[in-house]
Order: sequence, then structure tokens, then C-alpha cells
Amino acid sequence: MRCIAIATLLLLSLSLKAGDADLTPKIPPGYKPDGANDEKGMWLELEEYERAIQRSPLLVKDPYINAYVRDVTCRVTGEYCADLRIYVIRNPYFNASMTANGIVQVWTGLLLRVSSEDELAAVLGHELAHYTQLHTMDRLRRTTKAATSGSIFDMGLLVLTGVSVPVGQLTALASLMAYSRGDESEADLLGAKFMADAGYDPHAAADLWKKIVDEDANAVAKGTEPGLFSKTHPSSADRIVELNRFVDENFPEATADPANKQSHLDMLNAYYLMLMEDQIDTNRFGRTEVLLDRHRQMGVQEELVHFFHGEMYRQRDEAGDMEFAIKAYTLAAQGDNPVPDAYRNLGYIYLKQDNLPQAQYNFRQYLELEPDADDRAMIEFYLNED
Amino acid sequence: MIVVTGRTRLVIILAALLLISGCATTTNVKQIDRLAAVDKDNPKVLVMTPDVKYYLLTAGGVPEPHADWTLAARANFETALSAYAKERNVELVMIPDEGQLDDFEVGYQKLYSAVGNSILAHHFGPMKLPTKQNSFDWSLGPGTQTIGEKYDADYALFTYYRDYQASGGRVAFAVLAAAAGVSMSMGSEGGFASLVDLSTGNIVWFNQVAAGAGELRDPDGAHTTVKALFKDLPEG
Repeated sequence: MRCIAIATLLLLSLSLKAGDADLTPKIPPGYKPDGANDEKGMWLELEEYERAIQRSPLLVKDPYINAYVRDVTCRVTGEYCADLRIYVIRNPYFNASMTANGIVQVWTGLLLRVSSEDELAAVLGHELAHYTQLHTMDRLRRTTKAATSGSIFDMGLLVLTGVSVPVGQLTALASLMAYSRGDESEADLLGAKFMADAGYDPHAAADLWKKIVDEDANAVAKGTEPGLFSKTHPSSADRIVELNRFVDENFPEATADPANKQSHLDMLNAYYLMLMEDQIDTNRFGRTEVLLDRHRQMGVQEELVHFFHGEMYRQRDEAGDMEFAIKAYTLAAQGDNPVPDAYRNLGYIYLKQDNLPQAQYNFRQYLELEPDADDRAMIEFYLNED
Repeated sequence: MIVVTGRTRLVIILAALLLISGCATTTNVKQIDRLAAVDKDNPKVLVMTPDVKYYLLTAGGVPEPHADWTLAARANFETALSAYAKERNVELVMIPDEGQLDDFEVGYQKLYSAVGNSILAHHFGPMKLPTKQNSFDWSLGPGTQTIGEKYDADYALFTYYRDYQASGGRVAFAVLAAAAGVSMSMGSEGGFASLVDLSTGNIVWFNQVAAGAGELRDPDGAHTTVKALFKDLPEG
């Protein structure tokens, strides 16, 4: 009797909730293409693509960040981890991707937007699902098929009317976008399951999407996302609803381990200057502000957050912004963990305002904290002016 | 996810150029008659990893990369090239594996892609550059000396080749379309090769081959292709 109960439980856990797509991985760990020509061809092309990634100047080589991302990836992907190659790419936007042969790319902008290992695992679980469900190959095959059936339609039209217009091809290709939305939903749900299996909190997936919606709502220039994204991905609002329903039904007990927040925070604190510098350079002030507020709430070292508030105001340079920048830099410079660059940037602002004594005071503080600064000669030049 | 990288874009442009060019022709530019050696008896030619690929052109026109054909073509190409080099009295130095190139060499490979593409577009292609006056003075610059010294080579040979094999469905479509008066590609092949003088970086020989160039998937066909691709290659 007990055996039957366990077997039933096992079966239930495999099939999850009726009504959801079949969430069983289509390929086992250690998978290699088994003879389909298009798949073998794809893998060969991807080898070349991977060599290009390995040589990219944007590849982040820092061992700490790589170890952190790899650890989370391996935990959420389990036995599939050995089939994946993980690359952290220096790019301030929100993205991660997966290829048919297991190349995982994580953009640094993603690391700035998640607030725990669980949220990072949500993205990686989603990407693993694309891999285990062979979504890339499916898409290639659907494209080929749609182009063919579209051609058949066009050919019929051509023979009947003598006019050659690719109506059929266009219609067929448009329908691919809808298929792609289906893939994304499947990856969301299976990703949540991978998270739960690995002991992460699958609620984090919907939490992350809420953060993205929040950031979008605060963007100064709205609607600048490429249009294709909205056609190939479900809307964030739909994803949140579907994920919440799925997780509440299947993993109602799951909770997040607070240690998963701390480990992410430690990584952020160690690399904040590098990660946030790229975000500042996007000149997307509304989004930057949302991120800075969130980072402060998460507990990122406050001097660091102040420093980037200063950077944001200085870059934006609207009426009154320089005064805001001075305030923010001053807070960044005077805390328990002063940011040396805050003194330097204060120095430059005062220099521009023809306040040489204040400029030189700040430049001296900068050199005291950072005696080996690359720009020491330049700063000394200003110190010798009178 | 499908990413259009710089290289892919180049491939698409080149494929388009190959498709619009005529039938079974080779076009070349030759700046030197004989290879010259520096500090040794026989000139040596460094063979940069050949960029050779085969695709299946599916009925709807989507090209599908074909691994078995590509791997066979690469192997046959290498054998045929070695045999042909012997005929032309040229000593080859093979780069063992593309993955072993250092960043400097990869940089030159990319520079070559850009220059080769420009030659195709602006020298052989329709987009002539008025200031060039049709002179052939393309160069990668003298930085190539470093590569020459490392491999003890005088020249470097670059090859690019693509073959799009029409599937049965594609052929049927093309025949139907032709009956209705519309022309449709039934696949194509072609490529180009060039020789760089490593002491100056100058491109001293460049050959383009289009349609009907042969069949790299079998050893005999590969010999024909190699002969067409390296037509008028300066002798050692």
C-alpha cells in the first residue's frame, strides 16, 4: 500500500499538474546529437561561435565572479552541469542565453538585477529548460518547415495568378513568433521545477519578473526595447501570473534560504564598481535610479551606492544635478568605507566651478587613499596650480 | 537563439555575391610570378585554417549547415591542396588547429576577412572605389612579419569556400517556378583564396571561383576544386 502511495507521489511529481505542458526533460545528461543532419550541422557551427566567445574582449575572466555563477548554475542544473560551458559577458543589459550545444551566456546586467542566488537560478533554470527541451532545434526545424509550406502556398498563387509575392512565406514566418512564446512559457515552468528540485525557492522567478516590470515602468524613455522581444516572449505580467499559479500549485511549501541573499550581496559588494560603471554608461537614468534604490535596500555598501548616485547626477547634468552630485559624492567619501574616486570626482566638479582650494583639498584626499592611481600625474598637475 | 555575428554577416554577404556571380568562372589578380624565400632555399607557405562549409538548401530556401559534408570536404580539401602544392613546387606549413592561434593571429584572421570582403565587393564586385582606379594594392600591413617569423613562413594562404546543395524539394520548386517564369536558386558553390606576402602584408595573389567549381565531398572532385581555386598560384 505504501509502495503504491510512493509510486503515485513519484508519478505526480513527474507529471506535475495536469493542464501544464509535459515538463519532462527531452534529453538526458550527457546528450550528443544522434545522427540528425541538421542538428549535427548546428553543433558544428556553434563550435565556431564558441571560439569567438572565448576570444571576446567582453568575456569576464575574474575567477570569483565565474566561480559564483558556475556554482549557482551547477546547483540548479544538477547532472546537466557537465554538459554546459558558462561564459560571463560584460554587458549592462538584462539577458542570459543558451545554445543547442550548451553554451550559457550570462550578462553582467543580469547580476545587477537579481537580488539572490534564487533569482539568478530562476534565469539559469529557464535557460536549462530551453536546452533540455531542444527549443533551438525545434525553432530551426519550424523555420525550415514554415518557409517550405509558405513556398508551397506562394507557388500555388504564382501558378494561378502569375504574380510572385511571398505572402505565404511571410504569414508562415509570423506564426513562428507565437510558437516561440509557447517555448518561453514551457521554459518558465520547467525552470521553476528545476529550481525547486535543487532546493532553490521557485517563487523567486515571479519576483524577478516583478522587478523587471518595475524597472521598465520607471524607465525615462519607454518602449525602447526591440519590438521582437515582445512578440517572441510572453508579456511580463502574463509570466508572473502563470508562474505564481504553477508554483503555488506544485511547490507551495518552498521558501528561500537567507544565505542565498548574502552570497549574492557579497559578490555585488566585491564587484560593484565594475558592474555599475557599465550601467552608468548606458545613460538610462530612470533605470539606474531604480537599481540604486534596490541595491541600497538589499544592503549593498552604502558608500558605493552614494558614489553611483553621484555618477548618475554628474552624467545627467540637468539643472541642480551638480549640487546633488556633490552631496552624493561627499556621502560616498566620508563613510566608513570611503570610495577614493568620489574625492577625485568632487575635485573635478570644484575645478569646473573655479573653486581651486576645494578642488585641491579633494584631489589630495584622493591621492592619499589611492597613492598608486593611474592618473596621479594629472592630479599632481592640478595640485601645483595656483 | 540565433545570433548574427560579424562573421555570419560576412558569410551572408559573400553568399549573396557568390549567388549573383556567373557560371563556372575564375577571376584572379596576380602580382608576382614566383614565390621568393627569405634566408632559405625553398619558400614556405603557411596555410591558414581553411573556411570551408557545406549547406543543404531546403525547399523553402533556408540553408541548413551539414556537418558530415563539411567535415568530409575539409579533409578532402587538405589532401588535394597538399598534392597540388607539390605539383607547383610549393612547401606548405599547416596550422595544426584553429584553437591554438593566439590573439594576435586571430586578429589578423579577422583583418583578412574584412580586407578579403572588401576586395570581393570593390575590386571584383560592382561597387568600385573611384580613388582605387582599379589598382590592386590591398594589404594587411607589415605586422604580418611576426607571424612569418613564428612559423618560419614567407607567405600565408587564406581560403573561403561555400557550397549550398539544393534538396530534392528545392529542385522541384525551382523547376515549377521556372515554368512560371520566375528564377529561383537551385543551390550554388564558390569561394576565393588569396596569398599574403608575410614580409609586407601585401596581398600578392587573389582568385575568385564561382559556380561549377567542383565537389569537395569526394577526393577526385576536391582535386578539381583545388585546381580552380588556386589557378595561377605563383610557383615556388
